[in-house]
Amino acid sequence: MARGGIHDQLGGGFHRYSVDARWIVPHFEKMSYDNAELLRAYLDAHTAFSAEQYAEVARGIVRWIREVLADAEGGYGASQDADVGLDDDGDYFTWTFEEAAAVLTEEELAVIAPYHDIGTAGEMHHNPARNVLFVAEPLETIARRLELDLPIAEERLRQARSKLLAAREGRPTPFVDRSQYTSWNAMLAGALLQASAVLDDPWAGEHALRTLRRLRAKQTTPDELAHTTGGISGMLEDQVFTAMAAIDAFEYKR
Amino acid sequence: MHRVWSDYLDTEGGGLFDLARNRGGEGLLPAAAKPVQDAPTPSGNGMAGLALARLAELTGASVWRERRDAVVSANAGRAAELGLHGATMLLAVDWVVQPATHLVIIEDGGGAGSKTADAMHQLALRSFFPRRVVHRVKVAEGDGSLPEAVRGMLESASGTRGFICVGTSCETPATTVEAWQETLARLTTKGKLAQ
Repeated sequence: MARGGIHDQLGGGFHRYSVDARWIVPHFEKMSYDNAELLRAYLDAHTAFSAEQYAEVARGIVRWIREVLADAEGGYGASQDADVGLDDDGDYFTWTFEEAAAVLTEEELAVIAPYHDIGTAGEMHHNPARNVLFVAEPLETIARRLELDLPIAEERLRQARSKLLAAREGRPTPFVDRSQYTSWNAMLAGALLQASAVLDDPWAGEHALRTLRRLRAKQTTPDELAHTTGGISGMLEDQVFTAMAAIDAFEYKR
Repeated sequence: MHRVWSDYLDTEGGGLFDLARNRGGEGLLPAAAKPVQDAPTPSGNGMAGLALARLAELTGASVWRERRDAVVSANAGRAAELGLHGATMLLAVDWVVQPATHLVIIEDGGGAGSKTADAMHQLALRSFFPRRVVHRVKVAEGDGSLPEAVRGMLESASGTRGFICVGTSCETPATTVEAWQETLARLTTKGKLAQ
């Protein structure tokens, strides 16, 4: 999954699902609850197997939550749309070869084009020139073919991705649903508490605790949770997901 | 979770309803359902089983253990029909049939003792054990809510220390951060997988 197009290779986090068996072309919507569960899975994989690549995926999920979903006062939006219009299918996330070439040096393009399979023929049905970024080939193989030392290839890839991300941020951005659902907020808060400890990320822990305090402060009855601020209460998932996050916080806090 | 038990429990068939029994009205389905399927978020009953299991291990209170078992038992025999959509409920079952791993940090005194406890606590949170619970206990406060085997370890040594208990079996306490790190590494699943 982490190598596939279902994973946002530039911005971090995962799209909603894949529409092909190779995990390349996704439905580009990004859901808070999917990313909460995936964050926990990649954190567990990192700690269980001491595998840095899983930590890197987890950092990307946290970055997306922080930059896109998080409210400074606590709480998280529900999702980010796939598209910006009816004729669009994930154009914010995909690239033509010419678009990539316009913002990269020749050296950077020589590394990132085979790595993410950015070519003149892409994967999108609505516009075959658009490429979904996925990991198509190991960087070690590309470095050998280009006769580059691996650290140099890594640096060029890092620079290229950074430039593509900066260019992408200048595009019309898919709508972010800022609705704060109690159950999904609790899922994210619990996952971020785990991320804070495993990745040594103070923001993740502080923001998760702020979110749980905000959830608590907005309730009119101490042990009964509304699904949204001022909305209906009495839903099992709001109660038990928040209980789980509160237990996470109890273990996390000193 | 007390509120969950009073408002959502199916007192006849067992398990938890998706809506509190006194709820209903506009926008809500009239049919009562008991969610056990992850679709796509974790099921309410599975998550309740996990929350109750963790409360049972953290507090040692029998009420949580009894409720954990009740939620899981109410859905016994349904794994085949749920397939991978039953993952959360199966995780709850795991807490019922396998012992939990308790990582316990005893903080004794302030200053250096607190710093050592902070470092041990951080390492505990970074570790991976299935069915893991983390306790941080200050000697001055004691903790009568710890499970019996774990509570017995409180008086087994002095000074800030960390120890691991699986079921009723506990490791020798580690009194330095380095020793604690070594203990965690030795017992973690990672170590077992590497063998």
